[in-house]
Amino acid sequence: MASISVRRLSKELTEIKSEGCPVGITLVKADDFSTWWFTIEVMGESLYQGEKYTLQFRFDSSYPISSPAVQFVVTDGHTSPIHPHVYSNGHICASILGNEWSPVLSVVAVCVTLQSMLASCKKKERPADNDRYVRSAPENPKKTRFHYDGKALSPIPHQYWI
Amino acid sequence: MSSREPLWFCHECHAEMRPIMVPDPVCASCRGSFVEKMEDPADDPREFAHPGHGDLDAEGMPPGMDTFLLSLQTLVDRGIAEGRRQSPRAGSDIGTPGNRVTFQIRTGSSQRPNAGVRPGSGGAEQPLTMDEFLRRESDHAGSGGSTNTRPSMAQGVRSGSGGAEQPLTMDEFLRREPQHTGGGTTFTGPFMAQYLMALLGQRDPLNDFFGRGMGDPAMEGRMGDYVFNQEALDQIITQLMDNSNAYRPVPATEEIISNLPREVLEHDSPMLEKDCAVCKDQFKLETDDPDEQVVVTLPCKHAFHEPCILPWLKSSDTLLYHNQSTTLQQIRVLIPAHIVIVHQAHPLEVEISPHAEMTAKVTLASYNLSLEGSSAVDELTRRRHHHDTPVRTQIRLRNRRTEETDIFPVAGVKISIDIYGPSEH
Repeated sequence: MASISVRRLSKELTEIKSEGCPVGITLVKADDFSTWWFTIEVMGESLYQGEKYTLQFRFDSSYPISSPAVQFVVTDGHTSPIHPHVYSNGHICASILGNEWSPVLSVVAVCVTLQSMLASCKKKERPADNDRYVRSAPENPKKTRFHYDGKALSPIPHQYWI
Repeated sequence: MSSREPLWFCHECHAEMRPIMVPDPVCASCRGSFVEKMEDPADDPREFAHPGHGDLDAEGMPPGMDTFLLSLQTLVDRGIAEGRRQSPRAGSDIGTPGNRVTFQIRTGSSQRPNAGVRPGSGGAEQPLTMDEFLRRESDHAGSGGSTNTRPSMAQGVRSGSGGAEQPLTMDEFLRREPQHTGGGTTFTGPFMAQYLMALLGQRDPLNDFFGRGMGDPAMEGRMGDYVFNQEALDQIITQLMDNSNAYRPVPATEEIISNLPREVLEHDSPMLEKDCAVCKDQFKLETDDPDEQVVVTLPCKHAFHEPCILPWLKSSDTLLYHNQSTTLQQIRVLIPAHIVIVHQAHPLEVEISPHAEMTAKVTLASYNLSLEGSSAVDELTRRRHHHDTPVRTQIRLRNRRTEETDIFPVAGVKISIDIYGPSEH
């Protein structure tokens, strides 16, 4: 049902264009209903003061029932923030992108949540299993089974015994 | 051997033996109590092969025992070579160089003839017990005292009092290990255990034994159902957690979906001022999609367009505005017509109308939580005779671990209320 996602996304886009985004969040590009880019910046005093990061949202035809695929852009000179829940390939381990996603959330709500995730960070460090994860990570972060204590587990290949 | 007295079969170690009566029959080989008398040739317990334990030979040894012995032999030879430099134990003529170390296998009462014999002891041939063997190994590695040139690999033999030998349980064997690590070529407990598991799993034991160390943690799970280190245990638990419903959305059943209250929008409907949070549109009387005239209300009192909320419920039986943990499926009721469930965000009340049969069973799927003292069940059944008033009771929980009481049903708790009735009479 492509119409539900189109209908909902056009509503969100209209709202962003008319009412603007919260402070620190800017819409970069939303030319279609499949991929949107935003920049986020953490305002005020924080470890990430003055830093700007680019977020990519990818929607499928059952948005908002299904969650969007969200990650930081790491190509073309962009970098991902150093944070215990952000992998160096841009994948994010956040519960609202996984089992706590709800259709009442929106793209802007996700941006705000990620903004506050950065703002509340106490120490700039990569996740403990960063190297192992990025070596074998899937392209789409939704395919990863994250545990929400901040560690990522790669999907278990089917030939292993469960 | 005459067949007057039937042999017994031990289902735990697969040995055929005559049991020890203590006074109940117990396996002579492993002291297990799961023994069976083999009296009916038509019903032979030996036929009852477990997968993976296929071809045990006549004495019930797992396949590959020969290679096992060979590798042990190699190890011990190396140990002996060092040991030769030590002075022999006083009072015995054991330590002659050039002694070939051989093995003798014992399974309970049966003995494999001549797999190895203790040379040079000039008298009765008795195999070294495992205990002595391991002790000597550590002795020689540590203080350089005695040697052992005649170890014999008993199949887990414990030196009991007065020389009676009883088989070691795996647990004791592994536990014993730490006292005996003396370096050298001591056969470590976990190592041995891993080797045995490989044998039982019918993999190439030598490859496992020498080919990999403690193994790739992801592979540990393949070795039967056992783990021997913390890492492997963590891995298994992680895999189980991954597959548990705690992290996965569960779809709502047809029954639940069809039981949700629905309202068709009318001119005076109070809904008209509100929004459907899924499509972010207001509830309107004029819509392209006629199904959007129907508004469904979830137990949390939030309302949505029917076509907006149904796909969500089909994929994940949860409430939208609340932390994903409150599931509609918490309440599985058999006789909806007789029950009214009042469900706010937390307290769970059950109301049963009069004339319903009160056989209620409330079950909880939770480790730490239990139903409070006078639980819903007791309340309901106690009022069984007052048929003219509806019965209402709150379900309260108690945390067994922290001893906190009067808790409302919370995150992740699945409560099933099965209420039966009415009865025929």
